[in-house]
Amino acid sequence: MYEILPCYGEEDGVYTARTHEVIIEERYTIWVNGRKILNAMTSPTRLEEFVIGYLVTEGIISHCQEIDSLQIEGNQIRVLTIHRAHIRSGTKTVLSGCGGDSSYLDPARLPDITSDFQISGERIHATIKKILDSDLHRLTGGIHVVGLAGIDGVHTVAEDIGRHNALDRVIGYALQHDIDLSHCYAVISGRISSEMARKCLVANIPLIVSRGATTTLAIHLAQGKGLTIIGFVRGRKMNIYTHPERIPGIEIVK
Amino acid sequence: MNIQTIREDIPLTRDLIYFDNASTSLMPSSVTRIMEDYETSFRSNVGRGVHRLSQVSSQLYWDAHEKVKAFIGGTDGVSIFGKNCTEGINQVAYGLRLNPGDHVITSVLEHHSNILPWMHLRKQGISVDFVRPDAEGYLHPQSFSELIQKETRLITFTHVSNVTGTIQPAKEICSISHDHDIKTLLDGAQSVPHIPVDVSDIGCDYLSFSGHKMLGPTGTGVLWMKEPDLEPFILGGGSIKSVTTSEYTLEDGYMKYEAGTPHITGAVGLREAIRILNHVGMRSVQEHELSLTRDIIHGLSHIPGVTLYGPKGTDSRLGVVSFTIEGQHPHESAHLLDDQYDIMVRSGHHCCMPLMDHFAIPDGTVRASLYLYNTREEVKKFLEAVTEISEGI
Repeated sequence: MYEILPCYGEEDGVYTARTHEVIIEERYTIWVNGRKILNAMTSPTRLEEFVIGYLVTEGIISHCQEIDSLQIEGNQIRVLTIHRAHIRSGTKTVLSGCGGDSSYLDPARLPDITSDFQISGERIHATIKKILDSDLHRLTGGIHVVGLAGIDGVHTVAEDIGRHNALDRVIGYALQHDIDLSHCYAVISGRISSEMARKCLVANIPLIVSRGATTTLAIHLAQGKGLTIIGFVRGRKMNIYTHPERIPGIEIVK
Repeated sequence: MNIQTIREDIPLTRDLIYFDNASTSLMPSSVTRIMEDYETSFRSNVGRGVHRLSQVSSQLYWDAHEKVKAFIGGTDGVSIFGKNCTEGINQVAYGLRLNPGDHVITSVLEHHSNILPWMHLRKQGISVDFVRPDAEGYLHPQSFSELIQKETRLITFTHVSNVTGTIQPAKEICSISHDHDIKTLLDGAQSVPHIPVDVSDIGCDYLSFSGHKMLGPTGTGVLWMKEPDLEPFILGGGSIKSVTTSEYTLEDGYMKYEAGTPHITGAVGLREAIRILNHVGMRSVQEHELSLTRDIIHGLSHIPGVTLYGPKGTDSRLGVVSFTIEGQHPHESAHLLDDQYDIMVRSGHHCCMPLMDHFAIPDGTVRASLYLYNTREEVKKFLEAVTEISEGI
């Protein structure tokens, strides 16, 4: 996940040659049914899960069984779907940070969340601590962490240079392991952008939690579609922006 | 296992009783459809093409190799496609680059395809010895041990006999072989279609088998190698990384061995055949066939004038049953079964003349061989037919 590379460190105006752990970023080209659909900049791990999650959140497939073949050869990732007529055009680049991902999907046609999932604030506090405690982040300072949890605890945690990629990974993991996403919540280390909200909607994840902030567009999207957004989960505090009914015990102000 | 569903997808099963599966199996319509879909929607060459059709073809072709490897428990090895099991065996015979004085052990039980390539090597000074089976058609590991010399480079034998249906103790023989640092080639033509085969458990170095005996199209065969350590049989386009007028560098993996445009449609069909077999489950296939085999053996052994060859019991055997009817040439029996009863069986030497010599059956046998789509009702009709033929009705 990282390489130790040389750099110059500065402390109190004094520069010294040293090394530092730097997170690995790789470029992958994803092909679906013979067409290039994406150049992804991502961490070189759990690529199968990443691709499955990406294809699902982009609406190219709806479950793993629609993948007829998945080939990872160097930096080329090739997918054949069962319905091979479904060939998309164009390419796009997912930037490593944020804002670079632009979906083909029309937000107005995004699905509503279908779930009766509820989880206590207390459980969220405990889970976020568990998920976001990353050695790799401490070492490199260069990764995002995304976890997927259910009522019984954490299913999986993914680390990546991009939080969108990490979210795709945990969604891919869930689909590969037959985990019901309508009874899960996503825990992320970074900002809850509209893109993160959109991925949750397509995957039918009813709740997304972050120790960071969210955006107006994400809140707007979530409000209309039944997605609960919780930000600034720190210490003993949190902000619940949308659909608070998923947190038992909240007295909802009309 | 839902036999009816499978039979509905194989129109010929409605018209006749097909008991010649050791030769070639029938092919489900779904396999034909997949091949037709490929031909009409994605036909293109594999390998170097950049356009989308070539991308799809290349990936399907690659994936067929992966599915084949997984099917036989050999994901760590390399599988190469050829036109049949025979071609795979010949690739080993050529690719080992044996030297004069080297020694090969095979058996009398073998199909000609696992005898001729080795006999041919005798012309180059390579010696070949034959292990003899017991009266029921079993090869004993000890018999191989007795023939091993310090020059022995390869031990090759059939996993399942295409005459007696006997399943050989492949794991034990491979173990002896490896104790002496000798490579092993398993002829899986009759085993891979009918029983779960796991090369990682057996421990063989090479396994060859055909697609046309396992619901796939004719013209498809596989050679699996634990390591891609054989010299390629043929060279040419598609098998190289680079070429100059003074040298060339071969590709890695299966491409190294598959020069020229391969049978892509066949690979697509074989891939679908494997999907069907995986869906049914090879353990279920084996149990079903064994259950019918018990009926056949029990039935035939009670018909006066019928002589059975091979094991009398039903342990360690498959649904391949050889027999003769007293006073009748096997070809005549097979002709009557076809002409009068719409039952297809094989007759003659079954490409095993040395075995027929060994068993002293100069005219060969009648062979009934089963597959997953055969039924108890068909077995009953077959036994009634043999009874009538043997009574001269």
